[in-house]
Amino acid sequence: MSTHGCSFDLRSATLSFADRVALQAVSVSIQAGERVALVGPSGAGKTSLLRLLGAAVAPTQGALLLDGRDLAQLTTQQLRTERARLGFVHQDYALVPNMRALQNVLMGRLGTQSLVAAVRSVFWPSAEEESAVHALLQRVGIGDRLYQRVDTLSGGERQRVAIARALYQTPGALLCDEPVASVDPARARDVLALLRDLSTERGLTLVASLHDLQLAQQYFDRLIGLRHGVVVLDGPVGSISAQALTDLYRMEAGEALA
Amino acid sequence: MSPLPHAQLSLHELKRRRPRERLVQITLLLLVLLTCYAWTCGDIHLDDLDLARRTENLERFVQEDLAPYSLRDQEHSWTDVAAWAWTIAVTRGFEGALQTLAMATVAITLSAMVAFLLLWCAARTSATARPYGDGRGRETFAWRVVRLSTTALFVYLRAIPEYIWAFLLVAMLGPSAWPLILALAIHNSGILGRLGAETVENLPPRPLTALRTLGATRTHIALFAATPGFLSRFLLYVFYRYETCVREATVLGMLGIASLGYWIEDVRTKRYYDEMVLLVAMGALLVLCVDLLSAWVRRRLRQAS
Amino acid sequence: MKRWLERRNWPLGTRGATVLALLCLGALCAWWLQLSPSGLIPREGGVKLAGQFFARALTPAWDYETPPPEGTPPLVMKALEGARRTVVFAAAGMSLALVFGLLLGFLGSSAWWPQRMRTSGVGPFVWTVARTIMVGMRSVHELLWAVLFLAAFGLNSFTAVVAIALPYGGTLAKIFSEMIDEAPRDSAGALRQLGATGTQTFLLGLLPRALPDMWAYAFYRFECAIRSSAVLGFFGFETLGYAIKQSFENLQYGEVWLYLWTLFGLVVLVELWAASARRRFVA
Repeated sequence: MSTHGCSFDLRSATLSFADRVALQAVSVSIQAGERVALVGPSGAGKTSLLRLLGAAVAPTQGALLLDGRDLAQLTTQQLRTERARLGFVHQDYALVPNMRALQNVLMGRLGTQSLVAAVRSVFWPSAEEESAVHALLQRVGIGDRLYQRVDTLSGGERQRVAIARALYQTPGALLCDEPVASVDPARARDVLALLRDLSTERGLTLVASLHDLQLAQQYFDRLIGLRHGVVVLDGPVGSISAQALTDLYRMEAGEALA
Repeated sequence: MSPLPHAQLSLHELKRRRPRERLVQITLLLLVLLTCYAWTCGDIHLDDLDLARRTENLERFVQEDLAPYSLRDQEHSWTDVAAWAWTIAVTRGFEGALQTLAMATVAITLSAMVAFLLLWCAARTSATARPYGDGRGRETFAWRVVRLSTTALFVYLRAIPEYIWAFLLVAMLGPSAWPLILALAIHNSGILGRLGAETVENLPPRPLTALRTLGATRTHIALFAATPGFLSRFLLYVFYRYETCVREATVLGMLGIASLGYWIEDVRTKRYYDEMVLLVAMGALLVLCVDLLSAWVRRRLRQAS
Repeated sequence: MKRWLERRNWPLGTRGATVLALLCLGALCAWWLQLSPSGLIPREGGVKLAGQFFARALTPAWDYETPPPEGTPPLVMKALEGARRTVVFAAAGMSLALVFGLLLGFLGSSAWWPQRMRTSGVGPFVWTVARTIMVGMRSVHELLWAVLFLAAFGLNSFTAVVAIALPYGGTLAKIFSEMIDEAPRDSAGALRQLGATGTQTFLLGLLPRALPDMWAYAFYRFECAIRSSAVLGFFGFETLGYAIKQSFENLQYGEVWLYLWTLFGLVVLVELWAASARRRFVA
């Protein structure tokens, strides 16, 4: 069921809102199957960049090329199909709490289904669908939670349901917003290892925003450092000096004092 | 939840053991059955819907009964109609509306006071031998009796509709404003008492427990710690009930007490349907105004808390 | 005036000011209505009546107090029959109200409109119309609707059902639309992002979030509908109110109390049922 990974090409993209500029002329190119960690202080634009890559928002200026295709040129229907190929794991998981894990995961296919098919599948799943979801939940380690309501699950379990929902899309890329922000350190390693393994075995491009530099260096191939909506460092994990990383955060502290 | 109690179970087994909302399922089923029964049991005569006759009735009602009586046999313009409506509003409408409003206000004030006094005897956190404690320790029989009887009283007060209370009270007290006010106050004390007691029970327990360990008495905590904590919410409920009170006060007048309803009933028995519709519309307008007022006060209260 | 009303800090704080205003208004109204405690003393004959009436509170009649004509069913059966009719009218009215409420509630909420239709075009028009209809339906009390329909159509069972359905439908619509608009949007956003259409997002991401509250509220209104249905009896529909009125006017207070206790039992039963179902559903 693995597909080929997605490649992203962001060309001097600017994202501005009514009152502020979130990203300033960002150019980033991510190859299929790459594992990229977005690092930087809070408010640097990590989430904005992820939302841009996930086609949730369109850049105000510049362009995003997904597998070489400019998203701005697509029709609404084509855009929907592209979005369905991008698995997004939200920081707050964004599940429907009063439905079962099974149903939440089944919603992963909405992007490729008609309304009737979607409602049928969520409320009367076929045996194949149930076993497919069961297999996915087993893969992320919570197979026995298949029929539990999401609001009875722990935070870590919810996150795994969210990951399974993204996987059920059969995506080409996994985009994770702060996957370890609300998990304890031991669990954080489990989650990152899981994401890394999933990306390897399915050939997925993996982009995640992180706070912890050590974890970023350990589980990812490439780091992109953001500050004030500008890319300040970008390169393979080994090539980035410890000094550059400290600067990324330290200058922020200096500014806060000033 | 225990860590992976049946991690190795097969899909089939998992499905068999899936948690099911039996009560909800049964409830939904029963409600659907009840609805089907209600429509088909024969008490609702669907053949009464004999549309031709009903439409005829309606046409007569709209064309003949609704035209202002004094203008019925002559050509009349909208200004004539407005003048006619204004006369009715001045002679009966405005005063009736004001009286309705006044009685509802007295009633809601009364019921808020009664509910405020009684709810401490109904809330599980305050009506025990060890109030605002950590929930441990034995409960005395006396307190259990107090709590259960207050709760039962609230249930009884709100289970009987205002209209029935008013009907009974009018017979005893005569047609003054009191039966209407008491009827509204009785029913609403029951509702506000329960809602207030629930709010007290849901207060964050720690600050109250801390005061208790400092040696504050039951009354002190209730007045100076619990009341500030629950007052906003309680007032929200009071204003939400105020709307309902005004609606009900309009109607209770039909039992012969001077509110808008009195005049509605008056013209109804005389079959002056033109005036009746006008007065009902005035009542609706009054309710609408109070709705807006109450929504505004509740928004302020929400902002403040 | 307006500036004062919008001021952030009222003297005494918002809550203090509200409490004080309420108490003052209450006192003012009481004065204007010329309420005096003497009005609470039952009028002549009232004392005797009240005494006789309340004396039967704990000893309701179990059989007719005056011998009924041949072939009348026993009193208890009559009370139960009244209760059954009460529930029938309430359930029928409520089911119709639910149809109105859902329909208008959806039309009156803004959450399910596509972004571009929300600010211009049909959107605002549709929900202004829907909200106006809601307000109209619920500003008129169910008994007044009943009175209007009685005048327009004459006495028939359908009148009672519609009289309940209209104001209840309006109230349900108002509350439903608020619940839909206030439901958390995060899951809807996530579904949108994985390519779901607007309708899919609304049905699967947004509506399930509002549904438990909507269900709990509708159940609570059913309890209210039972009370309203009982009161409609005073206007000639054969529910519990009809029996209460008849027996009271015939001075058969024991019978009145039996009916009152039946109504009480009915309401409490529904309330307990609603409470336990709500706990499971809302969780």
